[in-house]
Amino acid sequence: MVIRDLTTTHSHLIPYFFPESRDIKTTASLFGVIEGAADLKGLAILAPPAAGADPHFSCDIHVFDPWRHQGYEGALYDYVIDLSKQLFAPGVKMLRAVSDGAEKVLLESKGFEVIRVTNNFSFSIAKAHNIFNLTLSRLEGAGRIPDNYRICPYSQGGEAISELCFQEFGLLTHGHLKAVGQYSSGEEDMDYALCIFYRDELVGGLGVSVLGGVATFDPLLVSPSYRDSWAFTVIAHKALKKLLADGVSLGFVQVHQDNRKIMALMARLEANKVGEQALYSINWCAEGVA
Amino acid sequence: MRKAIWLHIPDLLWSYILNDKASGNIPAIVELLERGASGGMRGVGPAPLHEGVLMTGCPPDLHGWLTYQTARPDGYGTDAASTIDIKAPTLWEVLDAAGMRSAVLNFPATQFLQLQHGLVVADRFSTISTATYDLWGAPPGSIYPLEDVEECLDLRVHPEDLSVPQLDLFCRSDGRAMGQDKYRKIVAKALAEGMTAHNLITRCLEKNNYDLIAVRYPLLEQLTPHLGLETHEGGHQSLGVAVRLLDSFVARLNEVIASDTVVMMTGGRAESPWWIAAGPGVPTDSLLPPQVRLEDFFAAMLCLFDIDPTEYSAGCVPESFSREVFSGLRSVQLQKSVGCDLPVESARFLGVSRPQKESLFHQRMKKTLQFRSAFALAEYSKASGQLASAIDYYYQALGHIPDDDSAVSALCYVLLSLSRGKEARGVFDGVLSQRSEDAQILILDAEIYLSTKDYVDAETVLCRLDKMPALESAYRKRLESLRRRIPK
Repeated sequence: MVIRDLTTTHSHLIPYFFPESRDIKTTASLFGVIEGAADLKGLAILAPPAAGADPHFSCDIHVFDPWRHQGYEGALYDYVIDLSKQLFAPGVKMLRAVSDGAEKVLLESKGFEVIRVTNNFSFSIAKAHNIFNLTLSRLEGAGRIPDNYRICPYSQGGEAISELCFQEFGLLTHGHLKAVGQYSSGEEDMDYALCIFYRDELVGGLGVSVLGGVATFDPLLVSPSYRDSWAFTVIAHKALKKLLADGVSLGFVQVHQDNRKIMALMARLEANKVGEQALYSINWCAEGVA
Repeated sequence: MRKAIWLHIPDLLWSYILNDKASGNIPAIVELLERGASGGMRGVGPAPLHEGVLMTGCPPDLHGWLTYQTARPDGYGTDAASTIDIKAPTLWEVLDAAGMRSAVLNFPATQFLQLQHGLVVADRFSTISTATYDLWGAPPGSIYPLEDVEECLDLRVHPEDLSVPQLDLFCRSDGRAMGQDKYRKIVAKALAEGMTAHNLITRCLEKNNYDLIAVRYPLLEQLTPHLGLETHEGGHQSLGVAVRLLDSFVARLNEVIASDTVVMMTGGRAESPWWIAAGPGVPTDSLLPPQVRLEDFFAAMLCLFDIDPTEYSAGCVPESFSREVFSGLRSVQLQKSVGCDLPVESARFLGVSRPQKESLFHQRMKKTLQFRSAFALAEYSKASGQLASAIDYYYQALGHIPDDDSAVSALCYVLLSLSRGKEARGVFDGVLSQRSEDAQILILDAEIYLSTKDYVDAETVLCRLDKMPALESAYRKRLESLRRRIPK
């Protein structure tokens, strides 16, 4: 088994096997694991950070189906780690969140550590709508909802919504990029994504995409000056109401395990946990990396 | 065995080198000039076209490297050009195929390049990307072979290695306009990257096992955009210090370079490149012929190593160079690049698990790149006198971005030079006619009217130009000369 640098000859394969590479801002190197007479068994990518970004290198591997779990994954991870050390990288992070149990075990055996766990939940749109409806009625009864807020399609949030997304998450999420039209949404219907303005000021927004009768929710964005106010309830209620009216019955959302508030909300919605993904990284810089 | 050093200094102007007053700052470069042959060369269009010609001996439409920022090979967005973008064999690839050892240091479009016998340290290796040295990894593909990584990493200079007094040599008075801290950062980055390049070449010279050592010093290229374009001719303080620093680098290299080594130096801007050659086989204190081309540099380099350049380039060695030294008798065949024999099919037949969905954002970026590439080829065609091709390329560029001022103006001027005033009027009216607040555009408007003999309209436009507040003297002169073309 040998590993060869295929960057100059096979980089056109990257989007097919590593679609997450579109989030990297630099050109990735591509390596192939080859057995016997030039038979390609799997690929690995390794990309340096963009200037001023997190200094970790980004990596991912893909072993073709018939040759999975035959040692090629381990060889590719070893290669990427050794090369990164040789190049003085402070550490390497996985480009893709991992859900496969065997892959998690392999990564941990190579020294990778979990940096964030994300839970996947599905829930009933009708039940969620009922809960938010009740909360909304209570807030309205208490006179805490202003009557002159304005609801717009998400894409009309302009620069303000991109700034808010970047401020909240340190990056522009896929849901955001799709909702503002910077990433292609393919067959997904983005008409349910919305944002709210109050006195010409952006209050918040919610990216929602619908495919095959299932609504996928992006993390809710609320401007810091409207936290713990009417904004969260109104935005969620408006989106759920429209989805329900159009017959969308099932919702899907990813929630970081350390986000207690939304985890509690999932419990209230009686959401089903349908999966879990973990983002891994490995560090060997003594100082640690931000 | 012959040896050569190639020093490439973008943005060091030929007019500066020839300026008696300024040349006191560059004694080492002047010394090279006096013991060799030198001269300006004809440009081939915007940067980096000329650098591609120097590296490959081919015109831009064949070498294919048209912009510093190019489409990534994975189709997602853009990044700095890499070796993938150069479609013609480079000088070092030909030398490598002939078994020569080249050290290629700090050149753009060399990332992912691998030489069997040589050393490649791409410009990305020295590019500062982190706030501290400890977190600064070398990008994969920026150095080859990997055995040399550790040694080269020790030679990298990070801005945090530089002290404030060192930086203030460059900043004492110039930084006021943009804020001293911001200016120090710019100088620190440029200086650190330049010093890395110098450390690398010094190390290669010490090792003394390379036939060709080529290095690119980007210091002036990085500083000039922040200080205005023409300032360093007038002795702008920071750039004056930077030029003196570069000259001291050259002086240091002159001390360690063996006397039988041929020193080639190139530089300047895309529109006015220059070449100094010194050493065995090169006549002393002489001028290169006025018709010398960028391709000739490539041909001379190959001939110096006894390789026949005709298979790769239409360039030829200047007549005054000794044919005994620049013989070029040997024919060299390039081998297939590493990895291209691997069957892609083994992956394709397994099916594509996650198809690429090219985003709208990337499509927009692609458009910009296609525009820039076509524009670069248009400028190259114009510079080489192929005006019909230039017109085709300008139209092609405008097909991607229809309202780009620079492409419309350039196309109009080429059409005017071919007396196609009516066509120019059509192009102009479609895009630029609304922008009457721009002096340059008004001048073009008047020129088109003059070419079609619409003198009344020309006079109206010139009157508008005349009434513009604070019209620069260059435009005023132009205005007067256009006015003289209107019959009384």
